[in-house]
Parts: sequence; C-alpha cells; structure tokens
Amino acid sequence: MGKNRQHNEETQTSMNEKEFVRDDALLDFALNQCAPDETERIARALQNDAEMKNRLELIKNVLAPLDTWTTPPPPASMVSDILDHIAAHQNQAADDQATTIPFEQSEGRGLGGIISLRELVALAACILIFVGILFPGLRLARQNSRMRTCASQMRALGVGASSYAAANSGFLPYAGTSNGPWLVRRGQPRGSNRRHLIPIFRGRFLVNPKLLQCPGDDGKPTADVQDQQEDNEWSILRRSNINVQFMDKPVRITMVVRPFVMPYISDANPLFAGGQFNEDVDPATTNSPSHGGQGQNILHFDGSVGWLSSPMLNRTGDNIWQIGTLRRYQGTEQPQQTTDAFMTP
Amino acid sequence: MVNAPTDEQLLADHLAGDGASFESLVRRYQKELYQFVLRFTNSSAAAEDVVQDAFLQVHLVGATFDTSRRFKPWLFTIAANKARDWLRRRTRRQEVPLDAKVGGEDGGNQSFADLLADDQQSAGADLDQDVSRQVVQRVVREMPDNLREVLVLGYFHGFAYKEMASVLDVPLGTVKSRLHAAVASFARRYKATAQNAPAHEDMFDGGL
Repeated sequence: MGKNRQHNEETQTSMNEKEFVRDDALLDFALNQCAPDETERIARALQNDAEMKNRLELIKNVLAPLDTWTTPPPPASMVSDILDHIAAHQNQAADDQATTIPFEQSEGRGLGGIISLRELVALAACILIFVGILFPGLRLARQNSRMRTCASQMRALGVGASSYAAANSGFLPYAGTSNGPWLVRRGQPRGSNRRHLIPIFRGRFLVNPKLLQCPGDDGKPTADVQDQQEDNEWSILRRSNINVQFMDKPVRITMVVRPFVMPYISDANPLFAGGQFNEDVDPATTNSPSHGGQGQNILHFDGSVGWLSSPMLNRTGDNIWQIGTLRRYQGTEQPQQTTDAFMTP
Repeated sequence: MVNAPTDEQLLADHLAGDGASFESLVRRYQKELYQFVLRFTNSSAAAEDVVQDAFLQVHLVGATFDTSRRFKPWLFTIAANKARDWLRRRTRRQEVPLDAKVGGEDGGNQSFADLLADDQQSAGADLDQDVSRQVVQRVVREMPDNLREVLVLGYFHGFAYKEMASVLDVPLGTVKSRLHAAVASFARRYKATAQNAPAHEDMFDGGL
C-alpha cells in the first residue's frame, strides 16, 4: 500500500516535470541558459523520460554544427596595436589641444566646453560682419523709434495744455514771475522757464511727469521722472529735458501769431544743455542733444508736432535757440519781437 | 594564492593612473572580443578595427563607467555597437521582426518544435568537418544582424540572458525569444544548405 502510494507520487512528480519541460526549456537547458534549480529539475526529469532525452539529443544535433565554427585567434600584434591606437589618439588629441583655446561655455549649455582657434576666428568674423551690417540699422531704427515717442509725448503735452486753456479762458499755463531769471542758477529751479508747464500737472490735466522728458536723450534715464510722481514739482522740472517758449506774461491761445505758428515746446536747447549756458555751442548749426544731433521735435501753439532737422524755422528762418542773434546769455534776456521764437530752458 | 584583480578593479586602477592595468584588461579580453566581432561581422579587418576602437572608447570614457555594474557586458556593448555601425555602413540588411515565424518567408508556419519533429536525422551529419564549418559560417553570416549577434553572444561566448539583455539593451524576454528564434533559424537554414552541399572542401571561397 505504502509502496504503491510512493510509486504514484513519483509518477505524478515525473508527469508534472514532463509537462513543465517543454522544448523551449530543453533548448535553454542545451544552451546552459537555465537557472540552477531549473537545470536540476530538467536533469531529474530526463532520468525518467526517454522521449525527453530523445528530444534533447535532437536539439543537441541541431546545435552541433555550430561547434565546428572555430575562429582564429587575433593577430599576435593585437595588444600592441590596440595600445598604439590609443597612444596615437592621445597624441592627436594633444596636438589638437595645442591649437585650441579653452572656452568656457555658460552653465547648462553643454556644448563641449572648447572651441578651436579656427572656429573662434570664424565666429569673431561673423560677429563683426553682423555688427557692421546690423548695428547702423539698429541704431537708426532706435533713433527713429525715440523720435516718434518724443513726438507722441509732445502731442500729449499739447492736449494737456489745450485742456488747461479751455478751463482757463483760453490762457495757456503760466507760472507767473516778476522778472525772475529764466536760467537756473545755483541749483534753484525756480528760475527755469519750464515752470510754466507746472500748472498743467498741478491742475491734473496731465498726470504723467514722464512726458516732460524726451526718451531720445541717452544720457537721461526716463524712469527717474516716472518714479518721482510723489516728488515736488521742482524736482520734476529738474529732470525735464524739454524747453518752453519764453513767457513773461500770460499767453492766450488766441494770441498765436499767424501766418506761421510759433513753437510752444521743443527738445532741449543745446545752448543751455546741462542747465548752464554753453558759449562754445554754435546755435546756427547745433541741433538738440536729445536726438543725437539729428534734429528736434517741436510742438506748435496750434497743437501740431513737427520735426526740424535744423534750428531754423522753415517759414521765417528764425533760430529757435537764440534771442535774435544774441550769442551770450545771463538768464535775464528777453525776445524783443513776438515773432522771435526762443526755446527757453 | 593571490586572486587576479577583477575587471572592475583593473579599470579603477587604470583610472587612478596605473597604466599597466589597462593593458591587463586589453590582454584579458582582446581575444574574446576579437572573436565575437569576427563572428558578428564576418570580417577579420573589421574585427581588428572594432576591437581597437572599443578599447579606445573604454580608455576615453572609462571614468563614466558605473562601477556597480560588471565591466564585461559594458565592453561587449561598446564593441557590439561599433560592429553594428560597421555593418550599417557596409550594407543595409533587413532585420526580421521578433514575432516572425521561425521559417521566415520561405519557412511557412514552422515552429522550433515542428523543426525538431521532422529532423530525426541531423542534416549534414555526414558532411566533412571543414565543409560543415563553411556551411555554418555562411548560414550565420546570412542571418539577420539581430539574430546573429544574440546567437554569437549566447552560444559561442556563453553570455547569460541577463548579460545579453544588458549588452543589447533589450528586455530579458526579448533576448530569450530572440535566441530561440536564432537557433531555429540557423537549424532551418543549415538543413537547407547542407542538403544541397557537395561533400568536399572547396564549396565556398574564402573563409575565416
């Protein structure tokens, strides 16, 4: 009874192993690709299964021809050839390094870290060509853009002044003065003729002091004016680089002289650039410094804005920087004729 | 008795500045690597070039090697990639998809088991040893690259499935099915070729 039971268990085990061991497993067995426990299980199954043994022999017969494919050993010089190959590469790399310049790339670019001298020269040449071609164009475009922005700001000032006039019986903004100097002295902005623009802001006809600064002047950051809205009005004036037609009395908009239209506001007068009289400047040939000496924007009393490429007014030939033909100024001089435009700092 | 340093130890010593360690690695693997590439490319010139380039690559990028891994599969990965590049440059050969039938286009739906069933007599058993070698060489040479490289690695160089998966950068199951397909493909092609082969030594020109 016990022997029969043991025999049945062995038979059952053998059946299970036989089912488990299929051709794929036998192939792995023949190829020595089985795990140790699987190898042991297949070896045990083979002991009790002649058919499985036969199939394993067939597999081995299939693989047997492969064993005839022997290959010759590598050439005797293989090791030295390999080492020579590496040495040659190192020498070549050393030669290359002698003609390359380390060039640290910016972090994260991953471009290899070095650039050869030849590539560097080519890159420099390309940059020079690009700069040569593009820079003048870019500069011109930037100047044009600033010129247009400046003109736009002047139109806005004209609108503000016009609104002020509409609310004040036709009178343009007038700060009122009693023979005070129009040229700032000893850091006192009260003498500036630009004070006539203050009423526009005081009355909130314009709220942006940045309009008082032409963006074309590279030397003056426009942001300063913007940031000074809480500052006092004289501080705003100090930062302004536009000039206003000389006024010693209230001017009505209806008093505009015709047939030509007088300038009301302009870019900075070069005679007084920097807040002081510059006697070396030739007023006949010098344009405002605000646009690189190319010309100046003019806001006329009728609200129109134009570009003058010289200080001379087209209709009258009057120089807008001068009082008549006066060459020296103390800050107390005044135009003698109503047609004499004088853009006063 | 002093144990020989491991591959990984030799590489570490080389990176630390010991020039002799790299030469030891070269001496240890140059023969096996050469024979692997020779069987894979069937060109002794290619084998020399590829082995030189593979060791050069190891020399150049050895510092990037993950020392927690084994060196040998990494070395064979480099060589296999370079050998594949060489084959690709020389000619473009169409690879057989893994799920293709063993017999390929002319083999019908024959599986490995079917192949064994009607192979009661080993084809070519009566072939001369040298002729058999030439037939084997030709059959293996004409196998698709992906089957040939797994057959060479698995049968001739005794790589385990896991190592082959690492070398070929494919899943373990893919390696297994690919090796089985390679053996079956070889068996079918060898049988077909050997049955028509004259039993003399001058059947093929050239040889290894």
